[in-house]
Amino acid sequence: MDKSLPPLELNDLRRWKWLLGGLLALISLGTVIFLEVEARGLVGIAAGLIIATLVWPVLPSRVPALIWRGAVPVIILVLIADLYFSPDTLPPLIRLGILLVLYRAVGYRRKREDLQLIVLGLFLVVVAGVLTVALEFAFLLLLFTSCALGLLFVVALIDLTENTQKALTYAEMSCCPAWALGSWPQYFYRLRKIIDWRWLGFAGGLFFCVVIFSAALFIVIPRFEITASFFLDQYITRQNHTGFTEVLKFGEVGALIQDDRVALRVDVMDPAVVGVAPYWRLVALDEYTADGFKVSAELKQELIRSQVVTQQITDQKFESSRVMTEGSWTFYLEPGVSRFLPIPGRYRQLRLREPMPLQSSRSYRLVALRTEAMTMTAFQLAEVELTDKIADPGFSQRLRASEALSIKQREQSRADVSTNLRGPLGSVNAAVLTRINTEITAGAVLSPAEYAQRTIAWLQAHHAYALSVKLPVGDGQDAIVRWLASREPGFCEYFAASFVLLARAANYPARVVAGFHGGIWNGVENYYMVRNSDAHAWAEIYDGAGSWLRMDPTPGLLRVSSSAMPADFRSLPDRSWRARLDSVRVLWYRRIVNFDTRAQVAMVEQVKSFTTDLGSVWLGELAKYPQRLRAWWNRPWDLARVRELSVWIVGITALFGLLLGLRRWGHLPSGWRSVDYDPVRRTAGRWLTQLTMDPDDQLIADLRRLRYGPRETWPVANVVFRRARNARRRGRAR
Amino acid sequence: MSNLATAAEVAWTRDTVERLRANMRLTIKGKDEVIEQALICMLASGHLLIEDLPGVGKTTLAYALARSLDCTFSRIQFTSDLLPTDVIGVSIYDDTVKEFIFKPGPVFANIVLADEINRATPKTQSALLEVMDRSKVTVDGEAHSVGQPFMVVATQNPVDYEGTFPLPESQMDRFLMRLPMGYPQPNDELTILRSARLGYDAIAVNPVVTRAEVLQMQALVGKVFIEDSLLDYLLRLITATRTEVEFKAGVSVRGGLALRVAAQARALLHGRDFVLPEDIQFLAGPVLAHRLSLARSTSDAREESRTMLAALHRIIVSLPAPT
Repeated sequence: MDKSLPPLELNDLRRWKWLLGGLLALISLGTVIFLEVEARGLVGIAAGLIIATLVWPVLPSRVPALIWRGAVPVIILVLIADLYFSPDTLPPLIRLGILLVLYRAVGYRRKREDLQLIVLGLFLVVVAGVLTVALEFAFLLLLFTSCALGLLFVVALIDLTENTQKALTYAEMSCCPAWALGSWPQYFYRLRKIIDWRWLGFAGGLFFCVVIFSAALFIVIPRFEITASFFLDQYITRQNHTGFTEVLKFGEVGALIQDDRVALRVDVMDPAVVGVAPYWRLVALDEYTADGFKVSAELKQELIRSQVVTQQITDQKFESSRVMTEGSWTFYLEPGVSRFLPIPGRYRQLRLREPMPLQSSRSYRLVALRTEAMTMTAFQLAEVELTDKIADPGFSQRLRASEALSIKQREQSRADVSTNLRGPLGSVNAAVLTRINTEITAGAVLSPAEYAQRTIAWLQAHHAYALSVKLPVGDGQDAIVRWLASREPGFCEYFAASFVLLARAANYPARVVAGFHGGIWNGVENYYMVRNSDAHAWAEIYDGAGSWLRMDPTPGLLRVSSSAMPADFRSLPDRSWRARLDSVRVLWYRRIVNFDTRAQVAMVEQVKSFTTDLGSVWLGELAKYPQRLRAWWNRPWDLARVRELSVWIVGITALFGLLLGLRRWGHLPSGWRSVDYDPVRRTAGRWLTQLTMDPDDQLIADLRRLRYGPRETWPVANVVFRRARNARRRGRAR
Repeated sequence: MSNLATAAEVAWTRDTVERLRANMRLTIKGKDEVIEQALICMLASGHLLIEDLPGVGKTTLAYALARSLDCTFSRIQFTSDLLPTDVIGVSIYDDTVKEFIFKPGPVFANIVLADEINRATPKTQSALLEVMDRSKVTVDGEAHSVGQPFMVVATQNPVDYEGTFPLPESQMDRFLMRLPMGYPQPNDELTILRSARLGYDAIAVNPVVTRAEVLQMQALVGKVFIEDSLLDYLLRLITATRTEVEFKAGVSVRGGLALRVAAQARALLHGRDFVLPEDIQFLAGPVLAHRLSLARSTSDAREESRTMLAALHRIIVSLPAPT
C-alpha cells in the first residue's frame, strides 16, 4: 500500500480559492447590513446565490453564456434607473457594489477577476466602516483582511505554479526534506546562535521608537470625527428607528417594544443618582392636530432662531446650591434615535465634543442638533439636577399675550403659545371632553396638580395598559376622544395624549413629552443603558406659577418592559452576557470620545513629568540608602538585632549555596556556563560568522586562534578585531 | 613545561607530514582525502580499517603508508583456517636452553597489515583485540610488547559475504577509523593504467620519516588544545547519536575519545595547535560510522554504511556548531 500523501494539486488550490472568494464576498455583503440602505433584500438574494455557488461550484457552468454576457449591461441599466429614482447618491452606488460583487462572486474567476472581487469587497467594507464607525466594522474588516490576504496568497501561488508547471512527484512527497529534520529545541538553539543580536536590538529599538511615537501622536493630536471629514454622509439619509420625530403618531408599538437595541448609554459616577426610573426628556409636542401631537411651528421657529454653532451651553441662572449630582453625566446617543438630545433634568452646562450647530429652547428646555447625527452623538451634562418641574416663568405672560391676539395675528406671531391650550376641533369632541372633565372635577375648581392627580386616577380606572389598541369606530370624532370615551386599553401615547386633551379642555395648559423612561444599570462597566423599548410618552401640565409639572398618566409600574421584569427587579444591575457585550461598545466610546483638549494636554504633561520625575526619584532614593544604612548601623545593638542580622546572613548564604549547588547539579540553564561568557571568544566567533572564509588568511587564522585557540597563544585581541572591522569595511563581509 | 604544543613543534609536524603525504601520493593517485585520513589515524596512534571492493588500492595504501615510515612492517593474509598463534606468535620448547621460548608472530611489527580481516574466524580476529588495545601480547601469562609505534591497518571487502565472519562490534570499536577507498577519478585511473607496475613488491617507496619522528608526532597530538565549547559540541554530537532513533546504539565513550584524538591529529596535520569545529565535523563520519549499528539492519553492507553516513550527516547539520 502506498503510504505517501497525495500531492496537493493545482485543482485543490483552485477550489480553496473559490471558497475564499465566496467568503470574502459574503463578508463584504455582511457589512452592508449595518448600513441603513434599502438593500437588505438584495443582500439576502446575493448571499443566497453566493452560498449556493459555494456549496455547488458546478452551478455557474449551468448558466448560459448569454446571461453572463448580458449581466453587465443589465447592471449598468439598473444603476442608471436607480440613480434616477433614488433621492441619494450613495445607496445606488452601494447597490451597484452589491450587484458587482455578486456578479464576480458567482462566476468562475482567474487572477484578474479575483483582484476585482477584492477591490469591490473593499469598497463595500470601507463605505460601511466610514458610515457606521462601529466595532462590528473593525471585526469584519479583520475578517475581510485575513480572507483577502489568503486569497491573494493562493492567487499568487496558483500563478506561480501555472507558470512553472512544476509539481511535486510522489517520490518527492514521501521524501522528508532536510528542513523538517531535527527537533524544535535544536532549531531554536541554532536560531539563538545565528541571530545577530545587534541587529535584533537595533530593530527592536526602532520598533519601540515607532510605538512610542505613535502613542505620542495618538495622545497629542486632537481627536476628530472621522465621518465629519468624509463627504459620504451627505449622500445618504437615515431612517428613524424610534420615531422620535417631531410628530407623535398613534401606531402600533409592538415592534418598538421588541426593539432591544440600546438607544442611549449614560456614564454617571454612581447608579444611585440616576434613580430607579428616570425620565429622559427628548422632545415636547405642544400642538394638537387631527394627525396627532406635533412640535408646534412656534417651537420649531424658536429652535431654528436659537441655532448657533457652539460646543457648550451654560445655564447662567443655574443655582449651584441646588446641585444634586456630583460629577458630570456623559451621554452616548445612538444614531437613528432623534435629533433631540435626552435631558434628564436641570443642568448647569451642556458640552459637546466639538462645536456643532445646536438648537435650544430655553422655555421648553429642549436641546437639538440641526440634523440627526450620522454616528453616535456624545455630550456631557455638568451638575445635573433631576427634577419633575420645568421652570418657565414667562409662560403666563406669553399665554396672555397670545390669547389677546386675533387668529390672523396669531398666525403671523412668532410666539404663540396658545397651542398649549388647543384641543381637537369640533363640538362633538369638545362635548365628550367636557363630560369627562365634569366627571373628574365634579364641578370644583382645582389646582393643576390636584386636577392632574384626579385625571390620572380617572384614566387608570377606565383604561388598562396594552401594547395594541383597537380603536372604536366613530364618525367625525377625534381618534383620541374616541379612545377616551371607550374603555379600551392603550399604551403610553394614548394615556399621555388623553391627559393633555382633557387638561386643555379644562383650560389647563398641557403638552405631551416624548422620551425614554427607565433603563437598566450595566453592572459590568457601570453605566446606564436605555433601550429603544424604553421609549415612553408622558405629559406636562402648567402649574400656573411659572413651572411645568411632569405627569405620567400611564399605569406606571405595570408598564410592560422589554426585559419583562417588574420595575423594582429591573433596578438590579444587569450582568448578563448581553450587558458584557454592550460594555465593549462603551469602552470603545469612552476611548474615542473626548470633550476637552485640556485632558489631552494634562495627559501629555503627566507623561512628561512622569519621565522626568522618575529619574530624579530614583536618584534620590539611591542617595538615601547610604544614610539609612549608617542610621541602621548606629542604632544601639542588642541581642534581637544581632539575631536578626545573623538570620539575614544565614539566609543569604543559604541562597547562594543553593544556587551554587543547583549549578553544580546542572539544574540551571546551560547559558550559565562560562564558555558562553568569554567575551573575546564570543566576539571572535561573531567575526568568524561575518567575514568570508579564507583559511590561509592571517586574519581568519588569528580570529580562529582567538575563538578556539589556547589563551596563552592569543594575539592581541583588539588589534585583530580592528583588522576585522577594516576587512569588513573593505567588503569582505559575507 | 607547558602542556601545549609550541609553534615550532607544530610547524615541524606539518612539514614532516607534508613530506609523508607527498611520498604517499607518488603511489596512491588521486586519493588525497583517504591519504589524509590515514595519516590522521597514524598520528592519533589509531588503527585503520579500509573497507571497499577488491582491487581499488586498499592494500596499496597500507603498503605505501608502511613503507613511507622507517618502521617494521608485516602482512597477515587472513583466511578461515588462520589460527591465533599464527598472528601473535607461539611459545615453543627450546631444547638447547630447556625452556619455552616465545616466537613472536607477524603482529610484532610497527605496522601490521591485516588483509581481508573478515575472512578469519572470530577466534583469530579476537586475538588482535588485546594487541590493538594495549600494544601488548600475552602468551602463557607473559606479556610481550609489540613495540612503538603500533598500527593495525585492516582491509575488508564489504560485498562478498561468502565464507566471512563479520567483525564483532567490540573489535570494530577498536579501529579509530573506517575508510572507504572508492574508485579513482578517470584521470587518475589513466595514470595508473599507464604505469606498467604490477604487484606490491614493485612499489618503490622510500621511507621519509623515521620511527622516532613518528613517536614524537604522536606525542604532540595530545598537546593540541581543544576549547571547552568544542568539547561540549563533541559531547552533544555523541549524545545525539545515542538518542537518534535510526541507531540501535549510540557511540561509546571510547568513540568520543577517538573523535577527540582524531580531531586533535587533524588540527596538527593542518599546522594548528588548536581544534576547529570543522575538524570534528570532518572526522565524525570516518570515526563514528563503524561504531554505530542501524536499528533496521540491511543485508547490504554498503547500503548500511550509506544510511549510517546520511544519518550522521543529518545530525551534524542539525546540531548547531559553536561560533
